[in-house]
Amino acid sequence: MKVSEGLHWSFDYNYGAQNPHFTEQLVKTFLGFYAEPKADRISAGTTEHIYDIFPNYWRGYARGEDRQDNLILGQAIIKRQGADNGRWNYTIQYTNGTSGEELQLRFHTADDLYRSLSGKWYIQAQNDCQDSYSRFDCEGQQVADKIRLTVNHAEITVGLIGEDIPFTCNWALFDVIPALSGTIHESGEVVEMAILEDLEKLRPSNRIGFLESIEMGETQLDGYYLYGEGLLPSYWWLDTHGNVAICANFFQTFVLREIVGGSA
Amino acid sequence: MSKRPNILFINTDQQSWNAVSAYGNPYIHTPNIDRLHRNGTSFMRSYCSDPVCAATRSSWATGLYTSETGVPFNGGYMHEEIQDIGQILNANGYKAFHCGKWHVPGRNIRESFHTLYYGKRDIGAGGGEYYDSASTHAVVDFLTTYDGSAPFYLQIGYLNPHDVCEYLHNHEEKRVPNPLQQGIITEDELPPLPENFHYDESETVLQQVCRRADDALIHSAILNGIRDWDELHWRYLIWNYYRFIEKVDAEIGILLNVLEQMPFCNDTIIIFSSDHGEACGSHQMFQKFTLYEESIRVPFIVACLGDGVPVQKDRFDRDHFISGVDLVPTVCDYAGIGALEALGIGGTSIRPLAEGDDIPWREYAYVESNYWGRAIVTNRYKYITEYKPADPEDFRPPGPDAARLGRAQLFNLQEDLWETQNLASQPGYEDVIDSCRANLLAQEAKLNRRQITHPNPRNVISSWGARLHTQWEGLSAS
Repeated sequence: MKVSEGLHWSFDYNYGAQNPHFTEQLVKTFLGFYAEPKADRISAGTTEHIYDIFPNYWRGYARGEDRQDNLILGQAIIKRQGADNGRWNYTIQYTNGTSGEELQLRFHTADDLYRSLSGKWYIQAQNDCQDSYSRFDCEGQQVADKIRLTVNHAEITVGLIGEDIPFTCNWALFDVIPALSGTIHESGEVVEMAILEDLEKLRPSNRIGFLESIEMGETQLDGYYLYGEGLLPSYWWLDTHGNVAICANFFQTFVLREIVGGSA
Repeated sequence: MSKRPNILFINTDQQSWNAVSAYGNPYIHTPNIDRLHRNGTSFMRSYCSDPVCAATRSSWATGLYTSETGVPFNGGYMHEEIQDIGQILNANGYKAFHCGKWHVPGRNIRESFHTLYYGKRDIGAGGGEYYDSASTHAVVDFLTTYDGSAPFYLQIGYLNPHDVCEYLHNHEEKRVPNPLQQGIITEDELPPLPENFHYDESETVLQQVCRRADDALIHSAILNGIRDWDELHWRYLIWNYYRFIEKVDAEIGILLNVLEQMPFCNDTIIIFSSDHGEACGSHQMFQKFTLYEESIRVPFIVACLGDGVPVQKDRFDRDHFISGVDLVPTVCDYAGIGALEALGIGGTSIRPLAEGDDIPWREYAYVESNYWGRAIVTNRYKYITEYKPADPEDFRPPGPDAARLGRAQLFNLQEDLWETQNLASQPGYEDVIDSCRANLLAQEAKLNRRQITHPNPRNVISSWGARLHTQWEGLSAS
């Protein structure tokens, strides 16, 4: 795909976004990252993937007098660190200038292909809207087959999880899909997973499969899809180093802007 | 019930009456809306006042029909002198809170309600993916810290499944491959094409000009972008629509789970509804703006998770016609606020029906659409008609005026729920049409149809009216 000819349908959202132009701005971030040879994706230490967030439907949701030249509505930072106890520690920072929501998600996973959630996890949301809501704090954990959340001393169960299905947070998919990509791509198999969306909403039945490969500029991208109950389809595009370069869910397209850490 | 209850009004956006798993739809999973049904009464003959966001929401806010509120379409503007439910409750011992979508042009939400959350950028028509989760956070924060000093009314406006509109916009300017060809979904996962996929070509002129023509007044870009859709594209639209509803159902689940832990849960009445439906392929149509059942018929549940507020549980009410204008009088009834006529509020409280009382009730539902469109739904029949545009300088919403009525459709809903057989021109139904028309005119005679004064809706009425006038002239000439 020549980038001047348009984007893949799974992340082509030029509708209503001609000024500023979605394609131009997405490609600018994309090519900015791939202007130089890239490193392998994750080191044994701490690695951060930093994504610009583009609004898939710009009209009405990302407007503002101060943003006329910049379509980017926020950013997501996925930070993970290998721990001595064989776990991965994740911190996600997500900011959305339209909703005002600034999320910090902290969780731990096993060092397995599925980055299986383990131990407690934490959600901290802050919002600088002009209304009374400003902060939301939540702690969660799996207790037997129950997914439990505690908010201001209120304990709730958001669903049940079976033992026979891998289970992780949607943000860990930035590592899970690259880890599974070889198997999925070569075999054509589909992987079933349960996902805890933003550590709050249980989506018990989802599948990840291979979509197709494309070239974008000089970069080859392999596409994967995530489908499931309670989720709109999302599409994940991996570069040859195993980085998720582009991820388009329904309203947001994440484009890799920077990696901090990683190994050459 | 010894004290005035808390009132929670949870609303979704664009959810049709039958898009609930508890109502027998096997293609969608809504365990949390189902839970509301188990804890309350589902009114299965509930109709919005007008099948588009701003219009119907102006009825939710006032208890008035949209020809009365000043908002007969999305570009309307609420008449300044009309009180809204937030103002009424705040003046009568309640604290009225709002969270999420409002979309009533001309009325500043922050002046009528205590707002928990209305977006960093004010919430507009859509954007559930951005806003709904934050709305849940705001409401959970409220529920878990509420001091109980006064009874509260809290309305939560979720945006989904309205995001299905953006799914459709996505097809305006690009080709999205058939997902079956992509191998990412199988045909047996897709809901079937609706039984009423084909449509009646003798629809009203208003419907044809607004929704069918290549240069349709409403969303012609979508219409032309999907003209070559095959059956599977339509079925995939339905599949996606149900996923949007499942997303918002999960948000509702968090709210209910938290509410259940609160000491005031027992004293909280919950009302659940949606502002209008979604055509989703029925009559080869998308979105709302039509008077078919999928567009105007919505879920309406009155529930209590405890036993503190009397309500019949796990029950279907299939007899009574509910309208969006009934929300305000119902809330006022629970809040102990009387003398509604003096406050200029229409509609009727459905609280007695939720408690299982048999009381005299209206015999039909009345629905307006696109300023000139009208429908009457009776026990057996659905009558759809339209007013022809009048003097271009007349900005008083039309009716009652039998001489200006245009085309009509008539459906026997008991035998033809999917509205596939238009009986309007068939012999033997003249009396039925006369009766429906009499109901229409009688209903409209009761309305306080005020002049539209704001220039923006006036411009819409003028331009749309001119287009309709031209269409009618063409029909007369031919």
